[in-house]
Amino acid sequence: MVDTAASPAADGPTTAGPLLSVNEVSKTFGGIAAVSGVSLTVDRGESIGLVGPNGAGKTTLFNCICGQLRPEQGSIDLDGRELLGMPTFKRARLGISRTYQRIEVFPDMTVRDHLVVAVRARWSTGRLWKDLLNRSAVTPEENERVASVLELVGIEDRAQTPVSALGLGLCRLVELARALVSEPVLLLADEPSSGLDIHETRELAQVLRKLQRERGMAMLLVEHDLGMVGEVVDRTIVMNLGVVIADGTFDEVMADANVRQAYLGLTA
Amino acid sequence: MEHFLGFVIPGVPYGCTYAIVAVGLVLTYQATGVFNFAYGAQAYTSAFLFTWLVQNEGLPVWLSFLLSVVILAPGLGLAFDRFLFRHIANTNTTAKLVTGISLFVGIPSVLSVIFGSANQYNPPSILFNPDTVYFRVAGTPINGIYMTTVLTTAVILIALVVLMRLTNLGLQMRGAVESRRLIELDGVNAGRVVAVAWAISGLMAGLAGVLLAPIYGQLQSSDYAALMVAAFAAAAWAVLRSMPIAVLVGILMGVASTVAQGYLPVSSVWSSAALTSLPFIVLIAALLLVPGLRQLDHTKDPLSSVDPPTPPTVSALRAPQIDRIVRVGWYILLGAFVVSMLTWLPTTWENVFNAGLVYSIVFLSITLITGMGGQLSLAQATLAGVGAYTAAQLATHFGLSLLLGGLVGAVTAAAVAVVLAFASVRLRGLGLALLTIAAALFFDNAVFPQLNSSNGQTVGIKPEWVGLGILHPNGHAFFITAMIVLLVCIAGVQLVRRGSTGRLLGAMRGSETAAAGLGINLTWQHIVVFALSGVVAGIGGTMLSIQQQQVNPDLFSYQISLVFVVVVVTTGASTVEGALQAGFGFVILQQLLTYVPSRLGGNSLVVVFFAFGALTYSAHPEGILEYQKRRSTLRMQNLLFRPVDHGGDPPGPSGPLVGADGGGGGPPPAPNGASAEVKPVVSDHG
Repeated sequence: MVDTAASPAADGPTTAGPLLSVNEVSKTFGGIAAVSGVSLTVDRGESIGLVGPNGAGKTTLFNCICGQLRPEQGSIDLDGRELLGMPTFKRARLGISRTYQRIEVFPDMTVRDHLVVAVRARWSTGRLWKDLLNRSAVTPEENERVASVLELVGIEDRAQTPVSALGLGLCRLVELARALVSEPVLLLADEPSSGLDIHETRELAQVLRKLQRERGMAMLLVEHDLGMVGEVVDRTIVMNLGVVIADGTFDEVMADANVRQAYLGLTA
Repeated sequence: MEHFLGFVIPGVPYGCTYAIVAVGLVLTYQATGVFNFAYGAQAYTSAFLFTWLVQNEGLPVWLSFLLSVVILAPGLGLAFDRFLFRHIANTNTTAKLVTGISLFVGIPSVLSVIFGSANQYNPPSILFNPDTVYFRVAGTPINGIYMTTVLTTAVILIALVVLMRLTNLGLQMRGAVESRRLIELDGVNAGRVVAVAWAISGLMAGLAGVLLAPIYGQLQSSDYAALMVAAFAAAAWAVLRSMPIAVLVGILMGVASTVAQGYLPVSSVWSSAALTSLPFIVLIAALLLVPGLRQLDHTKDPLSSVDPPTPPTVSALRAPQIDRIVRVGWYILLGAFVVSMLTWLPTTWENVFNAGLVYSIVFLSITLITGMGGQLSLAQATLAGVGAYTAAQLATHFGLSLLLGGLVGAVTAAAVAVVLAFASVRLRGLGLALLTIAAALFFDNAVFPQLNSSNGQTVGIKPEWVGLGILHPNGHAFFITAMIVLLVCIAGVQLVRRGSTGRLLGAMRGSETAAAGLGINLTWQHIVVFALSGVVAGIGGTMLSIQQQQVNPDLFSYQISLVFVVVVVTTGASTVEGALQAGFGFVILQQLLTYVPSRLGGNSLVVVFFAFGALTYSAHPEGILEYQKRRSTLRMQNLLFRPVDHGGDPPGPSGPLVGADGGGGGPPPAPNGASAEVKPVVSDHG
């Protein structure tokens, strides 16, 4: 296992407030409100489960935070910096990493190369002039960082395998490793257990919990496996039809009448 | 007013033909999801056969029309569907484009091989007598050609709107565009629906072809290519969706060109440059201004995840032992080549191989932009031309050596490429292909002709411009120079490929969403790959002009860009090896075909050969040559070492990503029953 304490700390806080503030964010698609006036905060090192039925607006909210969608209203701050108007790649370089609901891997690359790319993109260390002077070989530090994350996620034996030869579940782990290797201050994990079996889901939950505790990484977790959510998160936010309907500990929100009505289809 | 109408009215038939082809493109796109680059070639085929049957075989017009339009045109559309486009996944825009381009390039060549290359004159009209003036509007005579074109266009457009909007078949066609596989799950015979769409669009192409023929008076494929650009522009303003807008823009362009012809001074630069460039400017304006065009490639087939991934390159599959053998083989081949070139090869073949070297340099620019950048540029010959013309201008006006001027030319080509990159920052796939072909046509019509020598002739390269004895007839000095330039370019491309830029481009090629999410600046990478490709193309262009001893617009025309793409995707766009094979294959084949009697096609068979090669792109996006090499490599490995269970075929098309095998634990299921690891022999024997 990786010595996580030895890993360089994520970018240090610059302000005293919450790490991420989402204020009254709204996004519509052709007149249909996917996200409507959503506000939430994520503190440093906090792990939040974002749950809700399909179409609740969870992934849309992720896309707004990452910059892949531009909300019509509201503001989003990371560590006191306004994110709206900032392109996706700059937000990533501030320390926002994510995994995707629909697998987004690079089919021509090996697992290891995915992580090398992530490291170079995060710290913007890849330069054309270095390429032309043959100074772009993977450095020992990069190697070590990549190897440690591969070991942490449990796919070190697949390092040299092209992802096109991997199954869906392994591709999800590659996505997770790629997100983690850039040492994010905030990880947005979109249904990371989808395609994994029950044992793998449990192992994944342990990895996420460990990372979040030891590295102080904040996490927003979208997940339909409520068992995993309950195991991993400090706080749970429930969305339905684009709005937040409950916010509290996992047990609190699961007992909430609105949640049972809207999310579970049960009446109190 | 009458004076003005006198210019407007003659433009209407031209506009009608633009409109009918634009609507045909929209229909094909709406019904099949294919932007049919070959549409002009289909129209040309019917017009050619129709004219040939009437003029050469003496058949009556109605029978020729029946054979060439009613039977051949839909048949051609059905054949395209059955044998080519049906096998391409909806989301694979590049494969659809390459297939269309291959047909566009190949069909006129096939016709000239079969029927000879002589032009057909005075094609007949299908309805009214071209020589009869039926009435006058604002003093302008309305003859049979006018009547036939306008009436037929009106009938076709009404029939199409009814088909697409009011019939069940039209609804099913629109569904098939989104996902053929999905509507099949709803019980629709998608294959039949799409085949009907291809037949109808083929019929329209044939009809457009025979309508156009009498307007031009002489039948030549270049007219149909120019028509295609005007139709592209009209279809682009219609976002490939709205038939009425396509018709309106098509007719407006036809009218605008005759009005401009009437009012602009005949001898002015505007008349010669701007007028011929009108369709390209309209097309570029559409690509820059119509936001809907940026979304064209964003439509995702919900079932696209069942598509197989691109197989790994043969070099990634080779066992270390084979790798060593191949590497040693390459060194031996290189040594033998250099020795042969400097000693015993006859001048004819020395010139052929010299041409191979310079074409390889130009083709490396396609390796960069298509292989590494994942984008299809149809202006690579243009960028080469920018390099060559810049160097030639510097030599003409300042006496600068072409070798130094070539470097300035490379920078200029890179600058043009960067402008293209900025213009296409939000365009991918089809949009980018259209923008680059529009740029190529703009340079062909408005820029390169202005740079020729004062009497309009091509610029001949003078020996003193080059120096170093490079133009010496025995060609040794040129050979050595070209070898050095090629090796430097190869080294540069390999360094970029193996370095951070190659990795970041690989990420971008795989998933732009995820690449941006990691912190990759997509705009910057887009610009970088265009600039690098421009540099290499510019250098290649200058070297090509030295080798050919002239700077000729025909060397750098948009058709040559299309042929380049077709050639490189046949041999493999993703590897340096592919570019070298393309360069040498292109010229060696050309030379060998000079021994074939011209009545059997002679040199024009080169294009046919590669066009057929590129038609396999959809099945083998890595290049048919690369595919064959992978097969033979695996067979050799199985023969020499412990047999590996590859079933005789490369790992392939059963989509490993689909096999939701769980994850972290055991190995994933094997595609085709093969080992899931792509480099099994390496791990076994390394």
